[in-house]
Amino acid sequence: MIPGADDIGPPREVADEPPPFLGTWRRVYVFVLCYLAVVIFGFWVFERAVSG
Amino acid sequence: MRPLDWAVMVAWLVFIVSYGVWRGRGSSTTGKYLLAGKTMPWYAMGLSIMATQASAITFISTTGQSYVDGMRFVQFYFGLPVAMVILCATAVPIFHRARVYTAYEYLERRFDAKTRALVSVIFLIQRGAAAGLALYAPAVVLSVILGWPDRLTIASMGVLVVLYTAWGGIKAVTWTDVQQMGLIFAALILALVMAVVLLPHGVSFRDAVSLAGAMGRLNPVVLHFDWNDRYNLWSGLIGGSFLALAYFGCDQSQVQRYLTGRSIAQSRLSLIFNAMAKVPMQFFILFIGAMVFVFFVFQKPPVLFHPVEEKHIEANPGYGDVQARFSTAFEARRQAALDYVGARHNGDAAREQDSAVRYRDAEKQLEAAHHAGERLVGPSFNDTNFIFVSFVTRWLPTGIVGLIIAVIFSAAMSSTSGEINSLATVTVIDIYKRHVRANAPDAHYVLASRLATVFWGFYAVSFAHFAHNFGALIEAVNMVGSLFYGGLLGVFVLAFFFRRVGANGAFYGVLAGEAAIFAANRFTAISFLWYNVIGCLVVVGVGVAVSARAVMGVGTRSA
Repeated sequence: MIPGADDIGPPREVADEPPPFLGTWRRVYVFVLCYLAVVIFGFWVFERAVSG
Repeated sequence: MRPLDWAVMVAWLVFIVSYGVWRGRGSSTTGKYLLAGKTMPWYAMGLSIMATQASAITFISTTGQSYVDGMRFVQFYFGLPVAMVILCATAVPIFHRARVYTAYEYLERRFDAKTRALVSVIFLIQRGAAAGLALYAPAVVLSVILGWPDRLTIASMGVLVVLYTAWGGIKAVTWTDVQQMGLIFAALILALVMAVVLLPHGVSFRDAVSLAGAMGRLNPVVLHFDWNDRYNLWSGLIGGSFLALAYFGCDQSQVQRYLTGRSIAQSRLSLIFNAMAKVPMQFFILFIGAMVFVFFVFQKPPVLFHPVEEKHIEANPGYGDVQARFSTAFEARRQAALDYVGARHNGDAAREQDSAVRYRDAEKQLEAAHHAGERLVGPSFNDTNFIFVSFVTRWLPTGIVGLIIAVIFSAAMSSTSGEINSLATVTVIDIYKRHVRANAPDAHYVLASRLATVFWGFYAVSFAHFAHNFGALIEAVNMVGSLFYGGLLGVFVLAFFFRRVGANGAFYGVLAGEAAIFAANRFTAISFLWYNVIGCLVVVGVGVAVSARAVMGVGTRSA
């Protein structure tokens, strides 16, 4: 630790708060991965639709 | 640039420097100066992370890349959400609970001082170079617009950034990033609207999309796998994940952003925000490049987008022939495009097909003439970085030009400020405080951090002077990163997931990983996105092997 660096404190247990939506972090992660899959699929559909 | 453009640009720059100085007040301890006293909300961290990554290079080079190569570059970002999820589950809580200033400080707790020092030095080399490249991009812009020497522009930018970063530390960096991202989003929308509005009468937005698609510019997903191809779905998902893991998990310029969070949840939310916003944002920027391409289908572009070089080659005996070829090809492409749009409106499929073929043929002729013009400048000359700037300055109305130029400045300043702030943090915390002067008063380290910020600002300026030797800037930055990130990522993977690996395993693993990456770069044609995978795997393999050998050696001696 740096002397006088009280603003961040020593190593310690930090409480792991739940996310503000979907209840658990695991569900948030699954949601993000599903979102990525949908975005990529959307891009693919877009490309198929507009390529001449 | 007209007086109104100047007024808009100068007003924004004065505002952002003043705002940074004001927001950075009270950064009187190392905890506040380097980590904002751990008080930052998720949206400020999220936008700051995005701003640090989205440099001026993103706007200048990405749009140009889309113009010449289509939108497949977006696949580079497909791995980012995957990496964010992994980091939220691993690095964020580990770093928060360790209460560290830098990611590398954690490595000493897990391994030893030499591993921390090695990784810190690798970061300083790599990020110092990237900071220089990020400064060079707006210098390219101003050299085009004003005819200023690059060096003067680079130095001016460097002074402005150092001013508020050295004074206010990470608070100034983060809150100015929030403002700058707001302006960047607004200007991006404006640029797209203008590219569409300026299309000729009778050519709709749908026609423009169809014309870009017919020319293969709207190609965001390439399913075909090729080791040597930089941008396809697989290199993006796998190589991109490794690169994003390294960048957001091991690069202090990003780690420091989410270390300022008031809780683990706030830091996680900042990364989740990036996971969801980054890919659509890059798609949008690339789409602007594709629309600029369509704009130039109807509005004749210059043979070279670099106006100074264009003037130079006008005196070349071969220029007349190149210009004639270019004009003929442009007119053929424009006519074919108009026929294509007309056929679409009339529902004439046969004529649409025929005009699409002529449209593509003419494009090949135009590209050949453009490359011939580039070769008149030099064999390696490439003016991709000048396409978007040329569009903005020559065809957009007064006031909007100033705004978009201000955005390019903002993007450069936000990424450079974050980079020199993190470079200063690593210099002071991991090198100076650890190896030079360990027990000084806190005020001493605040002063040292400010001086280190000034030093890295000047370093970035110096490096930027050599950046003109690189090609497309966005690729140069990613390339430099990929040479080092595999090693960095590997050592953190060992730290987080391989409890039995000791200090020597980590240290020699990093050396071996870097050697493997440089060998791949020197002796193979493997795309740079895969360097992160190769480097990480070699570090983990060697680290595990060295540690296992050490354990076996101890066991043998014990027996």
